[in-house]
Amino acid sequence: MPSELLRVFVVDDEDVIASSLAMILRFQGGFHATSFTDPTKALQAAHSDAPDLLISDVVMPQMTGIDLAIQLRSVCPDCKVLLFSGTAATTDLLEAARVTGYKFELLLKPVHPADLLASIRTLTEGAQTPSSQKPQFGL
Amino acid sequence: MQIPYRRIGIVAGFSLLLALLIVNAAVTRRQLGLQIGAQYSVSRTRQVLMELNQLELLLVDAETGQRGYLYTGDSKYLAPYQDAISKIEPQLDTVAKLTADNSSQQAMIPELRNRVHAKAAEMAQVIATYQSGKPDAARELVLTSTGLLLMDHIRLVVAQMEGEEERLESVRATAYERAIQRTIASIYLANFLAVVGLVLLASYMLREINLREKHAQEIRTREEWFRVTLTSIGDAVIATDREGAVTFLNPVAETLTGNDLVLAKGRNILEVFPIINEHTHEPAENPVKKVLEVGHVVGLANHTALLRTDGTQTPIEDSAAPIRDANGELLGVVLVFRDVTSERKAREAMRRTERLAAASRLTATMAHEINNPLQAVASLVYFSRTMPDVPETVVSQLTLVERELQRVEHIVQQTLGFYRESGATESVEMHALVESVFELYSNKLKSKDIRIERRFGDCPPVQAASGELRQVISNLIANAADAVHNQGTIGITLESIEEAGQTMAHILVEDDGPGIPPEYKPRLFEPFFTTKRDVGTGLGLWLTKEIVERHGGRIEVVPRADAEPGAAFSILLPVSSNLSQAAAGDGEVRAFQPSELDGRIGSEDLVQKEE
Repeated sequence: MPSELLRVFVVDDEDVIASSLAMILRFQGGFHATSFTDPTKALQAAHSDAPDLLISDVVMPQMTGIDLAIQLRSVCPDCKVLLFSGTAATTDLLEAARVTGYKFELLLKPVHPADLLASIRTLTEGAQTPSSQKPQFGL
Repeated sequence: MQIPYRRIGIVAGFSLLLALLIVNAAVTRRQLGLQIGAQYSVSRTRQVLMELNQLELLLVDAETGQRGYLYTGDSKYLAPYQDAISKIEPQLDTVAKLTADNSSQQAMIPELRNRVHAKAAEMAQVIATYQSGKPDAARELVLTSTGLLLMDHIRLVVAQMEGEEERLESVRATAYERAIQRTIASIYLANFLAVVGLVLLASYMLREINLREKHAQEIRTREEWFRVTLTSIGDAVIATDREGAVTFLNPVAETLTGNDLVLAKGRNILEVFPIINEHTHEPAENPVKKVLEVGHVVGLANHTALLRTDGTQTPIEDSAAPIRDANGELLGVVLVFRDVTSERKAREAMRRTERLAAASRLTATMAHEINNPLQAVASLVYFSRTMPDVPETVVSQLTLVERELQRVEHIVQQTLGFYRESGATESVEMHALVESVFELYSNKLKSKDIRIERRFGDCPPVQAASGELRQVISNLIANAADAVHNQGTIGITLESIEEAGQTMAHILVEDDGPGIPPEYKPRLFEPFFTTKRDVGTGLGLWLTKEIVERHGGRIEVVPRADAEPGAAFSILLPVSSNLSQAAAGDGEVRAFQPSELDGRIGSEDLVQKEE
C-alpha cells in the first residue's frame, strides 16, 4: 500500500455505478475515490484536485469518456486512465482517439470489481500480477 | 416486285417467243409450199415447151424419113419414119396431159391433134401411093405442098401454145422470185424478233437473278447478324419449332444444359431443357409446351432448377415467347433463361446483411442497456460480499448471486457482445484479432488453467467487419473454453490457402474436450440449439455461421488431426471482401493494428498458473 492514498475519479452517468465503484475502491482498494455522474464536473474538480487515476464510462450525455480523458490529460499529464463501456461499439471511438495519439485501455462492462482492482494495480504499479484478490468470477 | 409476278413475266416472255417461233415455222412452211408449187409450175412450163418442140421434131423426123424413102426408094428410110410416127400419138397425149390445167392450151390441143393427124395422114398417103408403085404420083403429092401447108399450120399452133407457155413461165418465175423474197423476209423478221425477245428476256432474268442474289445475301447477312447476336448474348437462348423440337442453342444454353447444339438439334425441348421444382424435385411445367398451348409469352414459375446432363442442378429464371411469321402464324418458341445462382447468393447475402444490420442496431442498444445495470449489480453484490463482518450465510448467498450474474453476463457476451452498429468493412489482422479475444477471455482461460497452442502461419489481413469477426472468434473460443476440462488445450491455427483462385484465410479452432456427439452435428448451427442448458442460448454458433457466411466464407465442424478427441471448427474467409455493402456505413477502412492491443496482451502465452 502506498504511503499516500491514490486519488481516483470514477465517472459514470449512472449514479449507482459511479458511487458503488467508488465505494469499492475506497473500502477494498484503499484509494481516495470520488464519484461523478457528470464528466464536466469531474474536469472542473481536476483543476483544483488532480487525480492520479481516472476510471470513466465512455458513452455519456455531456461528453465521451475519451474526450474527458484527453482533456484531463491536459490538466494532469501523469493521470492514468481506465475506460469501461457497455457496448463494443466504443472500440471505434477508442480507435479514433488512438489515431490522434491517445491510447487508453478499455474494459467491457460488466467488469468485475476484482478485475477492476487488478487492472488498477497493473496500471499503477507496473507489471506486477494482481492475484491476491482474484475472485471466482470469470466468463 | 412479288415473286409470282416475276414468274409470270418470265413464263409470258418464253411463251411469246415460242409462239413467235411457231408462227415463223408455219409461215416458212407455207412460203416453202408456195415456192415448191411455183417451181413445179415453172418446170412444167419448160417441159411443155420441150414436149411441143419434140412433137415438131418428130414430125420433121417422120417427114425426113418419108422424103428419103421417096427419093431413094430404099425402104431402110421407112424405119425412122415409122419410129417417129409411132411416137407422135403418145407425144400428143403427153402435151395434152401437161397442159390439162390450162384451159386455153386445152382448147388448142384438139386443133393441134387434128393438124398432126392430118399431116401424118398426108405423109402416110404419099408413102402408100409410092408403095403402090406410083413413085411419081407420090412425088406429085409432095409437090402439091399440101403437106407443107399442114406443117406450117402445125408450127403456128405450136408457136401459139409456146407463146402461152412462155407467158406463163414469166408470170410464174416472178411469183417464184417474190415467194423466195417473202420467205427470206419472214425468216429474217422472225429471227430478229426472236433475238430481240431473247435479249430482253435474258436481261430481265439476269436482273432477276441479281436481285435474288442480293436478296439472298441480305437474308444471309441478317441471319448471320441474328446468329451472332444470339451467340453473344449473355443469357441462354433455345429456339424450337412448333412441334417443340430444338432448332437452336446459343453457347450459354449449351453450357447451362450441358447439351451440344449439334446433338441437341431436332430433339424435343423436354429432353434438352428438363426443369424441376427446386424444393419438391417434381418435374416443372415446361414453358415451351405452355407457349405452344396458350400462344403468348410465358414466364417461369419460381424455384425452378435446370437439370444438366451431368445431373447437377442450376437455379434458373426464364421466359418463353412464341415466334410468329408476318402473318401471325406460330413458327416455334424462343426460350430465354439464365443462371441465377450468383443472384441468389447476392440476394441471400443482402438478406443476411439486412437481418444482421437490424440485429446489430438492436443488440448494440440492448448490450448497453443490459451491461450498465449488470455493472451496477456486480459492483453492489461484490461490495456487499466483501464488507467486513458479513455473516458467512450471506456471503455464500451473495456468491450464488455472483454465479447467476455470470450466466447473464455470458449470455450477453455471446449474443450481444461485439456487434457494432456500423457494418463497415476494414482490413482486419487476424493474429491481432485472435489475441484480443484471448485477452478478453484471459480470466476464464486462467481459471481453468487452459493451455493455448498457437499455430500462426502466414495469414493476410481479411477485409471484414472487425466487430463481427471478433464475435465469431470469441464465440468459438468461449465454446472451446467451456468444453475443455481443467488444464485442457485450445489450439488455434491461422493460415492462408488458395481455393478456386481465391486467397482464403483459414482459421481452425480446436479443443481437446469431449467433442461433439455425432447426433448433434446436423443441428449445431441451428438457432436456439444448445447443449449447455444452463448457460447456452443456442444463438452463438448460429450467429457465428451467419456472420461467416455474410462475409462469403463458410464454417464447418471438421475431424481433428490424427483422430484426436475433441472438437474442431474450421472457418474459411475470403481475403478480399465478399461482404455485401448494403448495410455498410461510411465504408471507411481502418487497419486493425496489433499495436492497438498494446497493454492488453500481457505476454506471448496467456496461460499463467493461478495460485
